[in-house]
Amino acid sequence: MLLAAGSALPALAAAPAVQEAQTLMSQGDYKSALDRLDRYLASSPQDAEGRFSRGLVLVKLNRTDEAIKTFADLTRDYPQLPEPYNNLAVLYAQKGDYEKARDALEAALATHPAYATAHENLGDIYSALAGAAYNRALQLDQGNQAVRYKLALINQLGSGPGGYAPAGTTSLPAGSPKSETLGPAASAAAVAPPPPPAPTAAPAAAPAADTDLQGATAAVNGWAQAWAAKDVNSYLSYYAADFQPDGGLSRAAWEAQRRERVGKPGRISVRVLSPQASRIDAHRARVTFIQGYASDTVNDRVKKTVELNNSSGSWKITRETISR
Amino acid sequence: MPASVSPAGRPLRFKLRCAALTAAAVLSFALPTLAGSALPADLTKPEDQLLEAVDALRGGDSSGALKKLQALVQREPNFRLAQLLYGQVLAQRSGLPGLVSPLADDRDPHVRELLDEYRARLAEAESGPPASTLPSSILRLSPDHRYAIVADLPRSRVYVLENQNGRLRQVRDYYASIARNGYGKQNSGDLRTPVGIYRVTGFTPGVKLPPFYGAGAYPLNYPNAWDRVHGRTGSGIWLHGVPTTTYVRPPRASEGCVVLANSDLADLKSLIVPGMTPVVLSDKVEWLPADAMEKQREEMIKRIEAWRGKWTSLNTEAYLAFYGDDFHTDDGMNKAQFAAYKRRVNQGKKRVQVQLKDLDLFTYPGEQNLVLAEFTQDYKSDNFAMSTRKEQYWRREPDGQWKIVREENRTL
Repeated sequence: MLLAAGSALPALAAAPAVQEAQTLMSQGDYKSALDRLDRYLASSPQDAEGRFSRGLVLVKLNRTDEAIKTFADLTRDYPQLPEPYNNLAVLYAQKGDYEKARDALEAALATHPAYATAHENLGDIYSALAGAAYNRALQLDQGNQAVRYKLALINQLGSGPGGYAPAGTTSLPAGSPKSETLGPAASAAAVAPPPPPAPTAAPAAAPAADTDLQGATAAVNGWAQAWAAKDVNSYLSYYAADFQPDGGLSRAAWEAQRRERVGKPGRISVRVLSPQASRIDAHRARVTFIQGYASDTVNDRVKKTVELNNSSGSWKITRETISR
Repeated sequence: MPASVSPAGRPLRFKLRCAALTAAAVLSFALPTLAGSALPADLTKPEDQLLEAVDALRGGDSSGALKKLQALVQREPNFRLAQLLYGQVLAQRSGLPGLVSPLADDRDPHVRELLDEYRARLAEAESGPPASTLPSSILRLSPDHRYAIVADLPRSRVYVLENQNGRLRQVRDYYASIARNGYGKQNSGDLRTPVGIYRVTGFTPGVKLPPFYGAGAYPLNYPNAWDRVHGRTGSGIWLHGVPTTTYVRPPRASEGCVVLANSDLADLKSLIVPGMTPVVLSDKVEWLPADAMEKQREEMIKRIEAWRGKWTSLNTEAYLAFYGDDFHTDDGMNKAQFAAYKRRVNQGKKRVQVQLKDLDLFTYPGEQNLVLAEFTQDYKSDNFAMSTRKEQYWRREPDGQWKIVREENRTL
């Protein structure tokens, strides 16, 4: 990968030691990757690539504060690079410090206005800040609400479109092991490639010709509408008789719980955003979407996957999972 | 109560309102003539910062609006309306479709209150008092009052007028919250703010009060003489602050008091003189050029001077002719009893000297043809001398003559 002219980094690919560490990382051996990087950085303390990778390893090892320091130092030494700012922002956001996260992303965008990942992340930060501002405006319970928004954000991290992390499974900052070379300004988003499908995510969306599959998406939309309308019977009718509740509840206990919760008074809205439908086999399909739920007290988004079966003639939900 | 709802009869949602704002942008939107960014933020009032953000939004500059609101909520995190607007701008800029704005829920009373506050503040910015006009209710303010306070109750606004040797000038204005059921107090517990002319009777600092009253309280002398004429009841009408958990309260929130932001209440501290400062609580403030009040002022001064003349010349019958048929004294004498008393007292006198000074004249809010004259009266006769502060209520009779319908004396 080429570096932009004027960059503080040497116009070279990553040092062999750094490439080794990246391989170790991709194998999940973070401790060895860290050792390798530490040895390398002892002799080349200013290598931005190595330091950036070290930051990523520290995130993998849950050593967040050290990772923050690593990326913060990079932003100080290489203020022209947007990626350390972006990753710093993600870590701040994870800690619930949205304002610092916003400042970091804005700093990234100041030098790289077209940096797509930072834009997406800034959108999420804005939405989290908006939620917090709404809570303050309406004087909702500050303590509870802060926790709720933090959780909502973590759910969004790495949850596909609009999420933070390019690595689809965990709340990782930008920079997956395969693309550790710091991106040139010309392709600023290089460090943050499109997220690979999450474990539960489906293959590509079905072609439009598969009208039956469209029926599965329609069923999910109908299910959300029934839920939002608090039409409990209609809502439950979207579930197959052999639906398996998540979390070990029996079908009957689950149904009783849903009757009670869905039927509760008060206005809610349930939205199905960016649904992606795919086939599992002749009778089964999977729909993955972002579920936007809002009530007087809760406002969050989670990534949800439902499996449906149409062997009875209409699509019924057999499984429902929330993915992180 | 919903004096200013949308044409649809409901509070507007933000998006709709944005459209309305843009449409209204052709009207001149008079922002305070501050030098904008040249001034440090803490010299700009929070409300002005909010209005600047609204102005930026109207001009389509949402990133400018965001910056202003960000600075504002940092400075006043409990300014709920600012937080709402800030949240709205953030939500729009986030580009994420799923975030539901509280403004979408127009049944939520908290949202409605904030929209009411928004409309009150915006109405003031757009159609506040024209330059070089004064509230027509103050006909004359004696130089011993450095300041007077005028509240426009339906518009949620309090103004401070500075008095420089009888020349008035509006120097401050604040958003203010009034009683839940509005104004025109009649009875104890009716949750209304009185309409009338009062005086600040004291000051109690916040530390000596429950946190609910914030920075402190200025009690008013409700019910005054005119309220008692009308049998109005209730007590404890104050100007006070807010608990530290909020920046202001909604436009209609108190049980009768006028409630200001703590910073605004603190701002009043250097202006109010307890025991002195007049407070006009008005159901409708009319703003007129200073000379528009001159004619009525001269008429009243002449009339009061004529009354004094008949008194000092011991022309008792002519003096009594200045009093209306339904006149009552503050200690319960009716017109006939008062006339008998005056005739008896004046009979024994050879010489009466009455001097009036520090005259204040107000047209009385909530009334047609009523003027309150307040003055200090130095009375001397052959055998008696006394100084009092007199409140005298003059009413224009159907024949056009001004007559005294109520008097109240305070010893000095």
